[in-house]
Amino acid sequence: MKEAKNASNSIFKDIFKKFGLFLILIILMGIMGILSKYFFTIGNLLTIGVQASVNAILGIGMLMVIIQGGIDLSIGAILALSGIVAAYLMKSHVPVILSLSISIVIAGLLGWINGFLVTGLKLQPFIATLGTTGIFRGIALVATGGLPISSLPEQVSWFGAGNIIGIPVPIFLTILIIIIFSIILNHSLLGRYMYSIGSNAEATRLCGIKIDRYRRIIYTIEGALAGVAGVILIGRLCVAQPNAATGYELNAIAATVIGGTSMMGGSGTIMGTIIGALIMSVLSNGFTLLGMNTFIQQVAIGIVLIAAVYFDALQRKRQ
Amino acid sequence: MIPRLLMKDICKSFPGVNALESVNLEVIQGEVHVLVGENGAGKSTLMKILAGIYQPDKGLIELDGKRVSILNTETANKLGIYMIHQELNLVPELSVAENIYLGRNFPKRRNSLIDWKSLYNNTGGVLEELSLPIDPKLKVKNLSVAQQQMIEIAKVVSENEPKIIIMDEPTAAITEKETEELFHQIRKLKRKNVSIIYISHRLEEINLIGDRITIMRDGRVVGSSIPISTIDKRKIIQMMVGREIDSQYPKKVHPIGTEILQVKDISSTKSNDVVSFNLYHGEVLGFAGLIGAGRTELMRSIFGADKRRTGKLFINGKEIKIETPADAVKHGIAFLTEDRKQTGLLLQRPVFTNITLVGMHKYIRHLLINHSKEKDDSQKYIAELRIKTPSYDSITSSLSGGNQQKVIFARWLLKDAEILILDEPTRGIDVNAKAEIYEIINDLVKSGKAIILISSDLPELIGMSDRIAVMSEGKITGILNRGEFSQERIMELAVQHIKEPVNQDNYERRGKYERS
Repeated sequence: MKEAKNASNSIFKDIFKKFGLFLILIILMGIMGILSKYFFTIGNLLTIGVQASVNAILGIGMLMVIIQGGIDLSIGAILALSGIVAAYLMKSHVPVILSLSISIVIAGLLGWINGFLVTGLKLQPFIATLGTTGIFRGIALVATGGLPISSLPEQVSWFGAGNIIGIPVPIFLTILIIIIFSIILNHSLLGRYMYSIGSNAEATRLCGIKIDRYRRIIYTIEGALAGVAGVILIGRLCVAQPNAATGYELNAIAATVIGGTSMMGGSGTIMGTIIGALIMSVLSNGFTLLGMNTFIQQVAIGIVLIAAVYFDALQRKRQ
Repeated sequence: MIPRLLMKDICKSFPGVNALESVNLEVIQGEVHVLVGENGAGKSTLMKILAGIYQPDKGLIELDGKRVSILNTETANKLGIYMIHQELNLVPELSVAENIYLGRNFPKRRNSLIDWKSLYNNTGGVLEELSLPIDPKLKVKNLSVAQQQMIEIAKVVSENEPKIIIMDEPTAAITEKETEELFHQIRKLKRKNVSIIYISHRLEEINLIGDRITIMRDGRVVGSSIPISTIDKRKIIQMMVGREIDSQYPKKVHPIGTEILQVKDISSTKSNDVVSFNLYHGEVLGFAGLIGAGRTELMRSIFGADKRRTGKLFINGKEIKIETPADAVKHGIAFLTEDRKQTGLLLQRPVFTNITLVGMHKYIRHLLINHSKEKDDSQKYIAELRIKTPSYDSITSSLSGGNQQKVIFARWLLKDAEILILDEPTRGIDVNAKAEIYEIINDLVKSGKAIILISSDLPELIGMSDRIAVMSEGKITGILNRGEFSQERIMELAVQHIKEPVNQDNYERRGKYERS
């Protein structure tokens, strides 16, 4: 009898563990839906999706870096600097697609620099990327004199506002990235090693795995993802700003942490991160619809972040 | 006479397991009461109840005839009960004196700042009383494990009138010489009427130090307060495992094959001494030496874990370059480190990822992992090595020490490594699991693999090796053949270069070696 009760209890816990975050998202959406009739319109849901896409893409990159036991504060700066590069190329009449592709490659290179500082010079990732944040952002500001680059070619707006089979391009790109990276994390060697390095880097190294190489690859991919997020951002505004995405690295970290990722490395899922990004977007969208002070949003997101981490810690303790 | 301690009908269960079922324990004044049992037999649970870390579900505890309830560590300490854990509870970055005074009142000056001078003086007095040649100002991280243990003892002795001191595997990480020093301190405590409860897996040492023994199995006491002089090792093992074990070291001698590895003039980064030796197919080459003799450092440098300065390596007669562990693995060398939790396992990952970690390339098809083949192979090794785990994807930290070690063996068997370097493979592992690991070693050499076995457990080394290389201060001081093995001969070689073993300088240097 007692055992049966225990078993059902643990099944409930399992369900909560798997879907708990999802439930929180649904409940939040329900509340917002009750408070605002406009919330559940197709148009608004797509807006939330588009808003969440930048955080989700940056969050996936951040997730990988955190899983392997690091952190990256520079992705906002990478996004801005690679965006500036794209803008200059387009202004010099380089085809739009080529310009944007080059900017993504540049973003990847900037990510590789972070990886090199961490693995080659053995710097703490927090410090290394704090340094590169200053450098990347500074270069973007110096190159533009601090001013936004506007009147970009028309086509670029397709990446922010266009449609593919009725789906907004940012959402389409995000879904594509979710699929690709779910496969990488769960079914590829890189994914397996990512979790291994984060769980115990020295043990992984002593298994003959070239951990530094994999770390650099992960930072490079993360940088490139910041480049992709940058393309969406430029597309939405049709402007490249040296100050773009300031503080976005913190949103990305928040999305992964709300999604149940441990900052110690070795664990974390794409689904969690996506739901984390969606929770943040739902909150911010809902508050805007309700006409509440936008600054309150920050307070709310802060509370959600702390609550998420607290409940995660509580659950771990129970185990 | 009223016993110092009486634990009566103690029961304790955790979700899913009955850890203790009506356990009785009686300890008298000034005795060393040995407590043995396999891992999971309930020794630690019982001691944690005594030390106030767990609360019993049922049962009573009497101290000097008076019933007491031990709610937490603090009450335990007030009653004079102290536990020295296997993982020592010292703060590495603080000095010896600060550690000893941690948790009670530091001597203060009139302006209520810390009076450092009397702090160091008082500590010096405490250390002198125990005749420990340690500087109170030294940071604890610079001490050897044995010295740190002494500091724990000093802390207990100086704090209060200890009545009972529980020592959990105090000799697991120290050398024979240091063990003698520890026993010396234990005898001094006995003379002061302190009772010691002594938990150990090393059956050789318990009749040197113990008075009576209590044996536990599966949460019950199977042998209660037996005078040690009346029971032999065989009988103890039999009671612990519930059946008779034929021989503790089931060594099978096989014909030795051709040379597989030649190590020539290798130096590790930490010393300038060079080392050369050969290893043959089907051989177990033991490595003996005191802690700090440089055995682990040597193996790490052969494996490419640390950068090597000089020397050459030949495998099957061909010179090879090993710069990183990846190179070593490529050439069929495996390294099972002494600290499986820190440098061996991914504790928070499932068992199967730990098994397949080295051989992962086997399971990649079209860039993706073939999960079902990976699962099949993991389950094959789990069955073959009799790894006790609820499932192939259980979290590795939930396994017992012996099974965790077998997971690491599975990893390298799957990779089909030719040369296996085993660094203290049976440390902290119960008798049954030890026997199984010896079986694995026997099977490996039978199939022609070569094994380097580092162990601080001399009987084990003598029991399992074909040859034994003895190291002292970074050099090999002798290589003995199976016919020439004896503990005395090995110890002689192990201290060969050391002029004054207990000399302070030497102590410190050895301490540093070990940490670095």
